[in-house]
Amino acid sequence: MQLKENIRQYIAQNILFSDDGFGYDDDASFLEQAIIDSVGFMELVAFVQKEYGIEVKPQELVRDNFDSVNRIARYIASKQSPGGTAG
Amino acid sequence: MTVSPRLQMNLAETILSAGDDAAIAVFYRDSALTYRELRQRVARLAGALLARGHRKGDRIGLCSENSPFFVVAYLATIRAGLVTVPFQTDLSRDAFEKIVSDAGIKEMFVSKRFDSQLRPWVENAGVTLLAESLEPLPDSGALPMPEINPAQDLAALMFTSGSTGAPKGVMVSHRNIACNTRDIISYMGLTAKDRVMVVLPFHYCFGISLLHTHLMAGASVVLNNGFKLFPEEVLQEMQQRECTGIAGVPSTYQLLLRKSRFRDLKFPALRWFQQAGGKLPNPHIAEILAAFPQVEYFLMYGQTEATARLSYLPPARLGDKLGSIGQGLPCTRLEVLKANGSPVIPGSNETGEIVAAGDNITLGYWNDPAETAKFFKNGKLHTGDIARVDDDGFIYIVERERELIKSGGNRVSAKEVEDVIAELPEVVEVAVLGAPHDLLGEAIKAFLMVVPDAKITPVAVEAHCRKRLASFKAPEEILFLKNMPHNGSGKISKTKLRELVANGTSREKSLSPLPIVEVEKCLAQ
Repeated sequence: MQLKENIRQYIAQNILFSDDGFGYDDDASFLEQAIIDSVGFMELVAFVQKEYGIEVKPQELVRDNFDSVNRIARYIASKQSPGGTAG
Repeated sequence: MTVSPRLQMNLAETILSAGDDAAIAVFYRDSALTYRELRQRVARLAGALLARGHRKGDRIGLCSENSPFFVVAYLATIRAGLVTVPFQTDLSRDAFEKIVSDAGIKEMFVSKRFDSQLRPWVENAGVTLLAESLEPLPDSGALPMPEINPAQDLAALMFTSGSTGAPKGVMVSHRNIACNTRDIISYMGLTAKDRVMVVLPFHYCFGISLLHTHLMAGASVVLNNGFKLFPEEVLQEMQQRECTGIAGVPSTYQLLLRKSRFRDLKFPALRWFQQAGGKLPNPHIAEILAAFPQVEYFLMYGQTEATARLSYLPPARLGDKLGSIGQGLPCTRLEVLKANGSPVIPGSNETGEIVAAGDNITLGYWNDPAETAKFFKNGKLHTGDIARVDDDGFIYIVERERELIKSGGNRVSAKEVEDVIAELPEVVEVAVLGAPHDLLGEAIKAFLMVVPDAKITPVAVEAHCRKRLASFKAPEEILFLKNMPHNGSGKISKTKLRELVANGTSREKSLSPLPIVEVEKCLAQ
């Protein structure tokens, strides 16, 4: 799925500075596996907003929406669906 | 001297005796653990530990995020007369193996989350891993719990996070914790109605003090380990669970103030803030007080070597004593002594070392008589913190001894410079330290993390310092970091910053910040 691939690629290139791709499961918790720190996380949120034209509300910055590639993809899809909301 | 019968009890028994059977002791995610269930699980696991052949005083490791599993394993170890050794969860393999070997650990509780990472380390060290999935272990049935001598017998070995040196195991007795916990409950006025949001790790003395105090008061703890990335979620849970308090180190409050909606939300049940673990700059305290005028702010001071807490500043005195660490706890006597051993004169400019005595002063460092002799003298703890005392007996820390910068023949307080830089609204966190310098002895270097998209420059920070400080106190170099390095307790790690300087990444030219990525790479090494 292109959406997940885009997210993986963004994290790998801009947050992890990895030459070998993302390297984790799509379900891997950013928090529990210490994959990204708080600064990287803010960059990721900014990327989601800009790339997908989504306004992320502060109250939506919770684990359910942002703590794995799968969760972010689900969140973006729900925001893009007509009348969609998340969190 | 008469000793209260409760003081003679096993600490875990004391802590667990207050809560009503049906009251909630621990909230964690969607689960709620009642006191009845907690008591049962602790008793069963304590029996199982003894059935595995452990004898009073054996050390049992514990590596887990804050969770009901941590709480049960921690209290069961103590209940069985054994000594719990909580591990920082982000230790390097070397540090991990050193603690296992120093403490003589043969068995260790490891939560599911750390199982795959730690299993090879644990097995390589010849230690048996007690997995989260094994709880409850089979109970022995009726093995008697060992008798405890609360003044002598250890409940925990707390390895300090080593923000100023190598980790050392602090020997904490049953009585140390019981005494310190009662003092904290008393000055905070904690009751069974209290409910604290816990974001600090339990392997840190301030974090675990929240568990001790709330359980002993029959109150509740709410555990949320998501604060680092999801402060917003913590705030939502505080509202939902109607938390009466939250406790944090300076960076906790700085993150709340600068990177969450903390100030804009309403917390009708909130009654108090607890802050310890270093000094939150005064401008930040003022912001919190302005945003939450109805909430009491408890500013506190402590050390692992004193179980957790040594002093507090009553909220009512924040107005006239801001900057003070307050006075000693009811059971803790604090003195400020000059080099010749005599107390400083209150109200004068004399400074001396804070020396503490009382039942919360721990028994010293595990297997380290030399370090113990340096800091524990005749049962008194020499804190290494330098302070003065005002006319009313309130203590003001002038400097942590190791943080005085000797620059160009002047002695400069890192804290004073940090306070001035923190006045700038763009600054999230700041750390100032002295780096070796050929001419000056030490050069003052300031490390800052600022809010995203801030327009402020190092030159502007320098101009502010020059305006507010004597010129010899202004930093020689100002570096903007993308992220501030923290130790396992959430405090800024000056050790890592010193490594950064020592690794030669710092530039000769003043005020020219390193490319952020370069700094990050260096911190990761």
